[in-house]
Amino acid sequence: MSESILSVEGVNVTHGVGNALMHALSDVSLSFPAGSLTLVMGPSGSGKTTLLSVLGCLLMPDDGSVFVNGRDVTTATEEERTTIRRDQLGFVFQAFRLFESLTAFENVTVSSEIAGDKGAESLVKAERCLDLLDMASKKHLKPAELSGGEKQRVAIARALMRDPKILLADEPTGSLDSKTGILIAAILKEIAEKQCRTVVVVTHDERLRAFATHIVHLCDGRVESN
Amino acid sequence: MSLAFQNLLHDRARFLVTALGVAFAVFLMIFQGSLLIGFLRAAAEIVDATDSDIWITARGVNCFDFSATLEGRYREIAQGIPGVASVSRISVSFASYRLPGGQHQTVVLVGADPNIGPRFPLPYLPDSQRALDPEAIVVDDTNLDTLGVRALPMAVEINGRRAHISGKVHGFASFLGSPYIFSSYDDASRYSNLDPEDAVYLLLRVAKNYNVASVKEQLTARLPEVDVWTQEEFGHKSKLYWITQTGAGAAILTAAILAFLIGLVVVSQTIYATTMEHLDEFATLKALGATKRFVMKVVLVQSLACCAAGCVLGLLATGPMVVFAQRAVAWIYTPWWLTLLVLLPCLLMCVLASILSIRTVLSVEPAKVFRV
Repeated sequence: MSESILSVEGVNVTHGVGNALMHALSDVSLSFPAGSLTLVMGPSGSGKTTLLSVLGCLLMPDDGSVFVNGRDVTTATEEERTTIRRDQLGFVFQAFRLFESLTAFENVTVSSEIAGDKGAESLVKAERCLDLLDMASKKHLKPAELSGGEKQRVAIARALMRDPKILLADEPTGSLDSKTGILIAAILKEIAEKQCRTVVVVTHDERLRAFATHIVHLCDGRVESN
Repeated sequence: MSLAFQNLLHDRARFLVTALGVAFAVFLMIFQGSLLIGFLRAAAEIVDATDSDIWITARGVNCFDFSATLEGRYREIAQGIPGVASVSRISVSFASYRLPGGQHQTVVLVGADPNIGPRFPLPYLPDSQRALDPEAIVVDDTNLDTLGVRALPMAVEINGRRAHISGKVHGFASFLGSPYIFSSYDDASRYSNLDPEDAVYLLLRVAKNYNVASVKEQLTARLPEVDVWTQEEFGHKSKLYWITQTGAGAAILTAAILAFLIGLVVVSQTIYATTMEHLDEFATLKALGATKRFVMKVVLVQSLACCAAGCVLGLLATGPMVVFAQRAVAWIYTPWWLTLLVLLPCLLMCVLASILSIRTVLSVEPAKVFRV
């Protein structure tokens, strides 16, 4: 399993202490192959977002291992996990998480700026990423001037900027109307299949089943079906 | 660092408030600094205007303005010390100046022998640097209104004796509230009923081949009842007296420190508010892989940008305000280096102001990004 692009083995995550102790994830083991779009589904409180946080190196499990490109990130330092997030993972959020003061183009180049890459090449790449998402004509607009779908496309462009092998999306269609939601799901599927990236999508949206390669069901922190 | 600048520009009103807070602190620090430096300069202005090497004063005299009389014999003894080239006299006393309209004004009457320094203000006869105009006085140009001077020359009375204002000088405004007036030593001793043989200060020039320190040492040994200072020492002593003994220095310094603290609070508060408003964005930055150093840099750059904008505004305001203040406080003085010096506490203020924000940003949980 450690050969996989992204996997977790025997992961346990608890929140709270004493009587308030809650098992967010219990003995979860999953593998996400390259070129696939995996949907993580389940009711609220089932541990979907916790799983995504663990996969995204944002939360360390109490037990178990998390492998990103073969590296067990549970043994990595905080600085190393920061580097892994920056160079190997792309994030797409339900609330878009764009920087309100920056234009669409600047929002995309932030990823390069974080990596200390200020060269002309990164600017060309940002143009290309926006073009890929059909947002080149709106690159000078700020988030407040974009529709929900457009914001999400900018967010996806930003996630692709560092060319990550893994894309983690948290309810990417949650803030969009149904038509735009389908469009974004199609884009994510295309990214997985044509660009051979591992895409993990946490969602409640049943319509996204049509785009999934795999579907994981979580319930009370356990894998119900895979 | 475009994010840092764009965040500031995105909320222009808050940026302006921060910059104005810094500007206010910069202005106050420069203004208080100008008062302090001007005050120190004025405290020793007359001492510094002479070109003597050594001053002899009565025992325990702390500053030029508050003095005591020296008997004439000290002058004779001093003249007999090897290495003393010349001895001149200065007298200082409070006097009653009668305005043309009949009103009285208390003044500080300074009398001096001629030729004690080219900068020292005395009523020299036209085209002369040695001969003094008898019964003449000169006054500082900032005191013309206080002394009721409409045109020159003008007849006045000092301690009931006749005198005339023959000219005006610049840079000798007093901070005591009583204007300085300058006359010849003989006239001053007559106006203030001082024995012509006595003096208040004896100013000595040391002959070229003699060492000032060794001459001072001999004088101290020969005149144990009086104090002997080099000119530099007496000027420094005067400044120290006014700054430490009167509370004026502490008051000005306290105001400057308060300005720093006000600026610190204003900048801290606004930088912190800006940071809190963008806390989700900092969490996003961390989730995207930004290092601690990167997010710290964003906060610091914002703080320094506020500092730079505030400094520019503060400096622009200070120049005209100091000129305006000189109408009321003639001795206020802003040396060029003070404006550069103030940039250091300003920089420190902005760095300190960002510490709280940096702590908050560093502790923000990047997993927060998954919460809507």
